[in-house]
Amino acid sequence: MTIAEIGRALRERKISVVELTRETMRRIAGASGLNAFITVTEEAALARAEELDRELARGADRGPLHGIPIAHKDAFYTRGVRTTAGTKILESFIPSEDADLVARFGDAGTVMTGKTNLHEMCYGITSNNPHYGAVHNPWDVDRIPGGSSGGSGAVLAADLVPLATGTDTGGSIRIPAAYCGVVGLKPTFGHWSCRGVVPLAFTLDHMGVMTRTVRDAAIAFGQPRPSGRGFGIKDLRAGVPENFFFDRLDPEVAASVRRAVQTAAALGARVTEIRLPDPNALNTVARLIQLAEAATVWRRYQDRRQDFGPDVFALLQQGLVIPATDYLDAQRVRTLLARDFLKVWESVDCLLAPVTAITAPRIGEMTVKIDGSEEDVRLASTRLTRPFNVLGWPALALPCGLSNGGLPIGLQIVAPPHREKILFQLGSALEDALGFDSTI
Amino acid sequence: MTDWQAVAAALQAPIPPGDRASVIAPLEKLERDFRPLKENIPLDTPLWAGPIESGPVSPE
Repeated sequence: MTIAEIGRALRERKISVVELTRETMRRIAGASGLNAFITVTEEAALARAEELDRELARGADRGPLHGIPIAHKDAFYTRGVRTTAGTKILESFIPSEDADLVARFGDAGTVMTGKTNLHEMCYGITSNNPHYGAVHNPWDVDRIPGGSSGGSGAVLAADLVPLATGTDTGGSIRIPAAYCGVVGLKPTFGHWSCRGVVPLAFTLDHMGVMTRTVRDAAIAFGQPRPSGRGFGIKDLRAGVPENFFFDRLDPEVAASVRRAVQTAAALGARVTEIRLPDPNALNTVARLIQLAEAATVWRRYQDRRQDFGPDVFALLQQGLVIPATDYLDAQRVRTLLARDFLKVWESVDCLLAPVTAITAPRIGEMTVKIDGSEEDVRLASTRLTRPFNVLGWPALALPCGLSNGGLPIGLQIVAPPHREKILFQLGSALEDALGFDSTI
Repeated sequence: MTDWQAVAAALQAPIPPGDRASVIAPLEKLERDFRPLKENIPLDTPLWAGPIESGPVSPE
């Protein structure tokens, strides 16, 4: 069920928050094979649900998130509840306060159901966690859900909760959204505070949410609730990159995204092709910045090699030797690139592109073949998302179709800074028109 | 090309022989990709400080 549907049922007294929470917990227990949660907080959730029912009974309605079950990525601090960030190093860490975003959603009336599994330290895209086990994709349990917010993607795809938090440093919300057939919102850099979130890369980390529908993402973001079909997109100028974003794609991904672009045009958007400055340069800068910043966060534990997965440890070793001058130059090149890319918004209001070059790979698969050429799974998953972490632009991932093998394909809408409303406008219109069936 | 093993040793973060392929090769590729980008940075270019919403401060 969506946030909107649950909200109606609660207010019409068709269900209580306690009944909803009990049912949610029953479903979570039944889906334990997905390994999507590291911690489930059933007792606290039921106590919270009782409190929220009492509030509703006396007419104290906190708004559209009142009583809504939520799952938090296990990188968000939760007061009194273990927060591991998927690393053995934090296996016993119990924060004394909530992350800002956890507190915000708590104040809005959500019921925390647990903490979701993720790629170790948010530093990867498989969510095949060496310490807490692999997360399985509900569409095909032999496949990864993407990552690093893989558990959040899986709990939404399995329809266990309607709302989950995530973090996105190079695509960690949008990639699992694409691989799991759900919606992922990475707002403008800094829109939601990263206070109380285990960091990966200070200047690339974005806090966001994942939902089953675009409308639910808009509700979680705090946008006015849309009415009718879409928000209206007539004459919205939608740019389709003619370089980089459609290079080396799985043909089924390309076809599905192209169909979504045609649908946007049919709905009244003015679709034009646009040449972008140099997305590949953004990825180079991102790699360097992320390596250095992540190594800064975790260097104090470098002598505990046995407590890291080999992929993460190799990245930390790389980051430790990057010269400070190269790191600073990368941040200066980033300024120059950001100025170049700003020109994009003179001719279009948003960009449409695939989220990933491929559909969800199998668990343990390190490389994939795209049109006959072999490519690293991490690169094929991140090269289309990472540029927008460097620019800090808001981006929304939503499902736009299924492959012949029955795996979801993701479309990415990107807007200028602080213009998230455009994402919801076009995203909800496309959601209605494409009619993606998220039933597994 | 930078001798990354020497840099690592100097920083007291030695790279074990078994890790060379997973650590050195990616650094060499990154260095090749980044070098042309950093070569001509104007002197007064500041560090990135958040998403830019207006045009360049001054024409370069």
